[in-house]
Amino acid sequence: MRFQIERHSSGGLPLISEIPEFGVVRLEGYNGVGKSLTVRLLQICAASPFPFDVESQAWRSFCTGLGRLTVTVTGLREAHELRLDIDGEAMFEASQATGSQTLDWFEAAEMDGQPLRSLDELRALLSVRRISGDVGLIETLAEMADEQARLIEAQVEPGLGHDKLGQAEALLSDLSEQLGSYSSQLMGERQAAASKAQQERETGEQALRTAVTRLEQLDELSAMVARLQTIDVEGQQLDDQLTRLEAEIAEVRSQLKEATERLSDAEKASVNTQELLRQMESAERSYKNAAGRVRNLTLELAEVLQAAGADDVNQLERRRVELQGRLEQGRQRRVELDASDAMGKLIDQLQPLIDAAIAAGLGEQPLLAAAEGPLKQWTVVRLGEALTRRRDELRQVPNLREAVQLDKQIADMEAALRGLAKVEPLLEQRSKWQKKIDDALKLSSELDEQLDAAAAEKLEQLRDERRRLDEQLAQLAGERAILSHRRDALGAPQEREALAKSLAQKLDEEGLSEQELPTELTAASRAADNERQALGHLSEILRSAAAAAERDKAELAAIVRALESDNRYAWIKRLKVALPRAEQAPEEQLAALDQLKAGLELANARFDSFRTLFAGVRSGLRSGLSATLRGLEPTANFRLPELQRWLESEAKSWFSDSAVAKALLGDGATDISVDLTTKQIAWKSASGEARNKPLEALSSGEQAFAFTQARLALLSQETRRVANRLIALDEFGAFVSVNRMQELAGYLQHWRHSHTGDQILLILPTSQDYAALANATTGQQAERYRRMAQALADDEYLVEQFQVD
Amino acid sequence: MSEASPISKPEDIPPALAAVLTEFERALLALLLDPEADGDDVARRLVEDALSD
Repeated sequence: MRFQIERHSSGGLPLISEIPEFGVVRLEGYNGVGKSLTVRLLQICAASPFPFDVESQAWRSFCTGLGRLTVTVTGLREAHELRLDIDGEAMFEASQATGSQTLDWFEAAEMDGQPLRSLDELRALLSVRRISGDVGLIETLAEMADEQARLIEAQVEPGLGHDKLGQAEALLSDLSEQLGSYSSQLMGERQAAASKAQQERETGEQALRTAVTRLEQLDELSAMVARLQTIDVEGQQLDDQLTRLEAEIAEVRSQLKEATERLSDAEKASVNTQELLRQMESAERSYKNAAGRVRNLTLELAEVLQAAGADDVNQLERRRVELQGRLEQGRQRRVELDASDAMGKLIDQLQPLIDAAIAAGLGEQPLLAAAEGPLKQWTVVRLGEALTRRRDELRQVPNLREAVQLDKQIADMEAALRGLAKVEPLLEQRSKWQKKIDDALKLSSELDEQLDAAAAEKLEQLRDERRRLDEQLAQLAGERAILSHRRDALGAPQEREALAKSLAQKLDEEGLSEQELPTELTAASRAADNERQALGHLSEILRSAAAAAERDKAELAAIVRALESDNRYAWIKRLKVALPRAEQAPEEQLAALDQLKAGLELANARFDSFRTLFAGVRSGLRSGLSATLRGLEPTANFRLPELQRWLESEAKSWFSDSAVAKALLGDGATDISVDLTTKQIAWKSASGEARNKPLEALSSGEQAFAFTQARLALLSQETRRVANRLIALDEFGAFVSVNRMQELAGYLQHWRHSHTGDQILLILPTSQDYAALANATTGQQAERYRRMAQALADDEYLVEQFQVD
Repeated sequence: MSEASPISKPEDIPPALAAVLTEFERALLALLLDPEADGDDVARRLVEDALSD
């Protein structure tokens, strides 16, 4: 490249007017001729980083001193000519307006006669880099770390695809929100609580059954005791009453017999014709027949009434109504008992539907509507509660015993009603035969009219007496029938013995005495009540736990549905992981969700780490690595060991260059390593001897040479592609000893060949008297020295292709 | 003064950063620089890598 600077006005600042197109250019001149200022101007012309703070006085002075000028660059790759017109004052004003550099800093900026479209276009064409020699190796390494931090900030972070990061963050956030709504642990605990409540209720049901069975057993024993007591007490009373009654009947029967005989004798004595006697005897037979029938019917009626539980013929209708009512209730209860299993199953089928509806938020919606009554509407929740109560009722007590008892009661009531139905016909029959008695007595009275009055009166009296005794006998027979019925109901004596034996055996089995039975029965009754109450409580717990478990299932199903159908989660369908599916059991769904959730939580954590990664590495480079190298207290340590290893590796690579190694470490140096903690370089000499040396201890000449490698290496890290680059090596000529110049020249030429777009400008202070050297040499060398002496005399600087003197 | 030309491919990653990236971070960075990839791909890569651990 050839750089030409044409000044249109005198700005005051000295500048080098031309840098010729040599691969490695030597610019040598006295102090103050503008060597470094020219490089800085060219840095601005290439929009490369330059060392001015645009708000500083130095920047103002620099701009003012430039005046108006044109910089022309030719010999470029990918372009013929770059032309930049600058007005220093205008550039200063533009810099104050924009801060960072823009094309407005130039009056004109053209490439091959066409205005440049952007600074990026300029930067892609040309880069100007200045390497200062007055910086040490350690500082160079620190700057290298700083430069890496700068590149991360300027070139990596803006290129991260923040829209993609934002999209990914939104997707992860949506999924986290969805999966965050359930807790596997809580669901597991609630499921376990439901299972436990179910087990406890089953245990409670068993306990209640046991308690009720115990109560029934003791109840049965108590009934047996009571029965025995009844037999013993009431049976004796009945026996006594029957004995008395039998005696009374026998007495009345005897009186009746006597009365009948007296009547017969009186009739025979009073009647004087055979015909009348025959008629009287006929009337008498009619009477006896009718009286016997009345007596039998009275007996039968007493037995029927006793069996029907009716004490009085006047209460028959009331008794019938009562029996029919109880029979209807008994029959309904019997149907209910028969239906309990079926109804329990029906409720078991309905309850999950009700619970699911409640879980879906429909709990307060009306489900049933009554035509009238205080509860016109039944909500889903209310119906669910009613079903639970009914289910508990059906579960509470075994019904077989009640069913057996009920069957007997129904049969008894039916028999009683059948008996009641017989009462009316019996009464009618008895009334008919009583009328026949009256007829027979009336006939006898009519026949008496054929006798004298005294005889007739006597017969009338005897017949009245006999009738009274007949009626009394019928009455007593009826009473005996009632007592006999009651006595028969108590059982025969052998039955009593069997009952007593059975009671003794059962009490023995229970380990109880008859005296302990009442207390035990009370305790069993209380225990059954307690178990029933406990079961009610357990049922409430189960219902609550089961409802919670059902809600969990519904929530789980909703999450799975959302993952399957919501477009926000479409991206997870391509994940190489088993996702929960609607057809899976809740346990499987939960396992798949847990796996996904765990992955998501880790992904979120990594995402957050990635977000802070770049700032962390920047801090690690600047506030950690750089600070440490500069002897400052580090304030960041993000990945510091890794960063240090990287920089050590970079430094090692400089010293591993064969030319550098030979120059600084001697021939045959191997196993080179750099330790930035101790700031030492270590290697093995050709003889295999381990050597090391502090980096700071390298001589100034050695430092400058190594430093040059380092700084050029730093430039090679630039990631942005640029077609042409001018590298100015400034301010270190004084440190490069003459004996190192040869190696430096070789190294720069080597660099130039491997970086064809680069041109190197080596800036050196004038340190030799070239006129004297010309006089001391001959031939081409003398001629060169004379040209150099003349250039210095004319311009105070000289420019030539770099070569070692 | 700094240049502002964002990198567009993984090879442009500054060496200090490249030296300290984990394999996962490197892959994610490559995905962010890939013009064919979108936010779905980034989220999926994050979750899949987490699940594979």
